[in-house]
Amino acid sequence: MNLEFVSHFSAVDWTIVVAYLALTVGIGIWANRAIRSMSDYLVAGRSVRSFLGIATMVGSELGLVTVMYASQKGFTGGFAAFHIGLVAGIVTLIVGFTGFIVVPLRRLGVMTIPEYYEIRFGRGVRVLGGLLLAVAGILNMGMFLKAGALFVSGLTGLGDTNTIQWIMTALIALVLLYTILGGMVSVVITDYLQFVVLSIGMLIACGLAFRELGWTELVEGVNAIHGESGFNPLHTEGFGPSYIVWQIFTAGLVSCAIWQTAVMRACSAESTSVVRKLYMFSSIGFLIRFLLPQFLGICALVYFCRDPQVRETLFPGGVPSGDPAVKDWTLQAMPVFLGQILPVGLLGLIASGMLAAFMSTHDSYLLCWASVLSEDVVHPAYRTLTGKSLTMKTRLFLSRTLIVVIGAFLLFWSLWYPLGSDLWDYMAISGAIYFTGAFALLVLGLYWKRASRAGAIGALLSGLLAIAGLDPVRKELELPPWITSTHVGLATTAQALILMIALSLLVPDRPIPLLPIDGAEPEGNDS
Amino acid sequence: MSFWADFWGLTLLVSSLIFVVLVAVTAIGGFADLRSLMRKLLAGDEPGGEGDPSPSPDDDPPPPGG
Repeated sequence: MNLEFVSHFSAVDWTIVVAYLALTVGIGIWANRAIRSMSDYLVAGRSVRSFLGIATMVGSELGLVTVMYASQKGFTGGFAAFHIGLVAGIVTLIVGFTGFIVVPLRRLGVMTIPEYYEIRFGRGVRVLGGLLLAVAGILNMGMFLKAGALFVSGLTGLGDTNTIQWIMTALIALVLLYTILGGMVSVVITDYLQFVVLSIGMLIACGLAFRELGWTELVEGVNAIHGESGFNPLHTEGFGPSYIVWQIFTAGLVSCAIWQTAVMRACSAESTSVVRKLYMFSSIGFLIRFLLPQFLGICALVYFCRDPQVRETLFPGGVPSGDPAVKDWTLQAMPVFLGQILPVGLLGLIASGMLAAFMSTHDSYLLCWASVLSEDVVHPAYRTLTGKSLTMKTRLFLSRTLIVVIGAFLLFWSLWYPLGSDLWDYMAISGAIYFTGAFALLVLGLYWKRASRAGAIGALLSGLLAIAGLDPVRKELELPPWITSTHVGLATTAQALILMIALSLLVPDRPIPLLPIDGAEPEGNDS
Repeated sequence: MSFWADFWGLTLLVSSLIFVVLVAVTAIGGFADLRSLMRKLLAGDEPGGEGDPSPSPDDDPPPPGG
């Protein structure tokens, strides 16, 4: 494989990285002083205001993994991949204007989506939904370490796998340390720092990449490699209409209003009016988190394909290579490209921002899935079995223990699982195990009075069929190639909705009043 | 192709410009919010315990006659 390049990454850049990470971790640990209750730990005492909420929401979503999978989409799809960011931004804006799903959730005062399941459908649905959410969420972040390792080796030029694995393990250990100690408060502070550094770094990197290649070369380069499908997202040789519909749902609605980590931001907001502002202003962040990295991916594509030998390796005979090593390299192309064009110093700053982003995404997600398991699975199950509640101290200990257990699982999974597809497509379909059912429960549960517990259980369980969209499972089931993970995801979503409606009509509930719980917003705040 | 190239170029340009403004405003405003958050949490002013929905200047006013 002719894809070896020398990076400009130097000792100066390493120094910047170490100093920046030490600062970030130090601040995260310092935040431990502010933790006085479970609410402080999980939702920062519900005291996050508009600007900070926007910064942390964008900061959490504009992580290294997002940058990696988005740049890979730009590399493999060309300019047409921009449609993903565009629909993400538009849908988030609509959610902000209408308050669809997120405002009723904040009004109920829940901390997690399964908590809403209990209020609306009963404790059993909460435990089942929490379990599915945690499984899907942990699988979804299963490739984060791999993406991080590819980023480090691509940007720094480190080829030794052992060294990279030790670096990634050390980063995870640091994340575990400050997330366990500082909870959501440390997450908010580190997300803010990362938002500032990474946003500025990304803008500068895009400016330098643009200066290196110029608009005309970019357009002509993409046209020569991808043709019309590199520009028109509706083109059937590229993404096609069904993929766009899938993106409206996943990159759009799910990412901002159904995915637990984003909903946690809404739940942390001071009021429903802050929730609306948060979503309206964050819409540009949701757009840009795809657009800028995709642009860097396109720049990397055109830059490397200047060399005919590299182009033949990546696109033998004009079609994308099926070699798994080349597929992995498409994920690494953007950092390798940055290692080629960025000057010393700026390279260190970008690496710092990206690694801080990597840690920031991990802290948000680890905290999120650990709190779902402790608060929505173990604690309610314990209450049902014993009739007693766990003390706050025990729940905090449980959350912290689960963070360590999940971290250990991620180390194992990222080494074992063969990716086999674009990272973004893996994430969408692994997340679908949860969000196809959750979509039905949220939309119908919040806006349709007749939605019942039986319908909710049916919809949640039907989401498990999304597993058939994962690459190794599709191969095992010998599904025909024209049935893509997109089709599996869309079919599972439709099935969950139909099942929920049908079962709700067939097996209705006795009416359960929607009672707000601790942390609910008082009446009149969103008049 | 020409239409789509122009469309995506314009989308990228406009979004980047708006993002520059958003980063500047949010970085400054966020810092002030962060200070206020830490002050509140360190003071431990949570009269309602877990999940206290204490009002803030960002909240909408209560309904008339409430």
